[in-house]
Amino acid sequence: MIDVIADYGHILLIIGCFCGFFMAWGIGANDVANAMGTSVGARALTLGQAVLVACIFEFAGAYLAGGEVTSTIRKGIIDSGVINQTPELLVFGMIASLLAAGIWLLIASYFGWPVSTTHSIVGAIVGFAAVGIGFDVVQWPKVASIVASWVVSPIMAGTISFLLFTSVKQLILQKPDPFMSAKKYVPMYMFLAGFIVSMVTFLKGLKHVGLSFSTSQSIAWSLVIALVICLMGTLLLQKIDNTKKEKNGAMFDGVERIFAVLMVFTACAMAFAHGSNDVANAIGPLAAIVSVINSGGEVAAKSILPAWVLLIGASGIVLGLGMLGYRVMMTVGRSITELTPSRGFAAELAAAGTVVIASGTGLPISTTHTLVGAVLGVGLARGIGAINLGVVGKIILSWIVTLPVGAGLSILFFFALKGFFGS
Amino acid sequence: MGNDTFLGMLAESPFTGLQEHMKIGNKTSKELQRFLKAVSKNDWKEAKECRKEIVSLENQADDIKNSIRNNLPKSLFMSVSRQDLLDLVFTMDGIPNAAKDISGVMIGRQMLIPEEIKSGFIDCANAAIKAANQASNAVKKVDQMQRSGFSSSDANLLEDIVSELEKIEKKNDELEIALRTEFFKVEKEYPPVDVMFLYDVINKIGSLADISQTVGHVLIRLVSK
Repeated sequence: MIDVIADYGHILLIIGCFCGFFMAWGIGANDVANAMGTSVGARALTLGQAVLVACIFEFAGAYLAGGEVTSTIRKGIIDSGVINQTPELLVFGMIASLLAAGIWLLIASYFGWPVSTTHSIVGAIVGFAAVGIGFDVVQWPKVASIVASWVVSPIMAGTISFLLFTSVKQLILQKPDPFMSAKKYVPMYMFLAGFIVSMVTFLKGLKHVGLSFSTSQSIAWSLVIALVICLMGTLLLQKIDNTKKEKNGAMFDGVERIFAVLMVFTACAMAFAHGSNDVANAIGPLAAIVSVINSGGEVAAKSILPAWVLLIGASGIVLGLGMLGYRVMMTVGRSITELTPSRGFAAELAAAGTVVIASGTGLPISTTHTLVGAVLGVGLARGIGAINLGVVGKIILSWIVTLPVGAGLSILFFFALKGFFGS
Repeated sequence: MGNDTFLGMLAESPFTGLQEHMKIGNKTSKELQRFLKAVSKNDWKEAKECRKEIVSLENQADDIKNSIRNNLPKSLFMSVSRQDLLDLVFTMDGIPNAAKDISGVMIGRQMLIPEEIKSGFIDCANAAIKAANQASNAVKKVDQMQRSGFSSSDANLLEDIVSELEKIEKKNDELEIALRTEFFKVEKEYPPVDVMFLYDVINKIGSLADISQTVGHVLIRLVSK
């Protein structure tokens, strides 16, 4: 049995890397645009800036805070004890899952269906494991908690964005002088964004890089980082003035310029959050393949994530973003006028916070669906003129359809690989 | 591939169309003012020009009204009630319509305003036009309220604007009554058919003020969700 690994190990590794890269490319081409589109659409970032922010912070997120989700995808869904005797099946299955999810994403992008990379890969892994290997191989309680998080995360993001935008209304927009109030309170939101992101990173992320902090140390460091970010923001805000002659009825132009600066920060947080959660969709399966092959067939082998695996994921994303993603962002940027920075930031910060917390807990969730929930939350707080519930329905439907399709495709590829390598 | 990211859920804001419609309505009432001035001076060349402009503006307003209505599917989740919004657009559309009706009857019959009531007539019409302008101000305010997320202080400001509008409408009512009384005294000196149509125009001017006031009331209902 272990012979397959010994005989074909290198070929399987190359195929695995290729598929992982392909998947990451797909995430970069499509998914990143969803995460960054809000900022580009609100004119807080130019296209070039958005690509740059995405590259840096996606990578940082994946490297510094992506460990938990990667390990869930890699060994949380499948019970490694049960398949210890047949490690090649895990390798076949993970390759099949990457192929299935990657191809499904490609098809969906072509037709313009808003599918989620997370749902595709989880559906694919559960599919090949339950049908190809055995029903008991799947850790159903873990899968149940992942599925539950898919329902909870948009609701949580929606609640947070509702509260955030309500607080913006109370503290800034409805004050007699919204401009001065914005200068006063916006750094507070920057602090919040910085604190959540660094807190999750210190508590959960850095141990995968080999650094360990206690809870109180984490809190202290997060506070310091958040304060630095807050001060940086305050300095940036000082440059913005209100002296520009503002036409009657446009008294919120200056306020929105302040929120646009805030949105640069939340865009970074969003890219970081996305990197910490969604990059694992490509890296997780690859990490499983690499660890089995490198250890010569040990499934439960405890090894840390090799840096080059991460590099494949990160470069795949950057390449996808450079080849297609920027075009998606460009379309998004042109098409929305409704999501002004004061609204966009609330949606982004709520989604980024939710995703980053999920990353810390090791739950693979969909960034896009979380953002959908967050935008709805702002809408409920009467922040957005009109939301097309038809499109929201389409998103929810594609979410449900993706699971069986991802599973079906990966079962197909799994048996094809198994037959080809003659196990 | 393309514009199918989740941001497709952000539908075009109905408030943009509302403001556009309001601007057209505002232009129409200004044009009506010019028209009445020309008529009172017996300058039919100028009046014809104004009338042409009013008709074209009214058409534009209709187009905007239709595009707002057609872009409001039931699946839209809005920060205001859909029904109230539709009511508002239809009420607002009454302003250019009234201007078109008034100018239409007057130009079609080459209507002369009797000297005895000329100043009363112009005053009454000006009050109605002022009401229409005030209605536009109220609609303009709603755009700002939308940007601030509908605060209660904004709602108070809107109520101030509308109560001013009510005052103007009341003033118009009083002027209309005075005008009718004045005209009643001299109506027998004029051809009966002309008299009938002049009363019709006075009615229409009164309804311009009424419609403007209704715009204000629907607006208050719209924002107080």
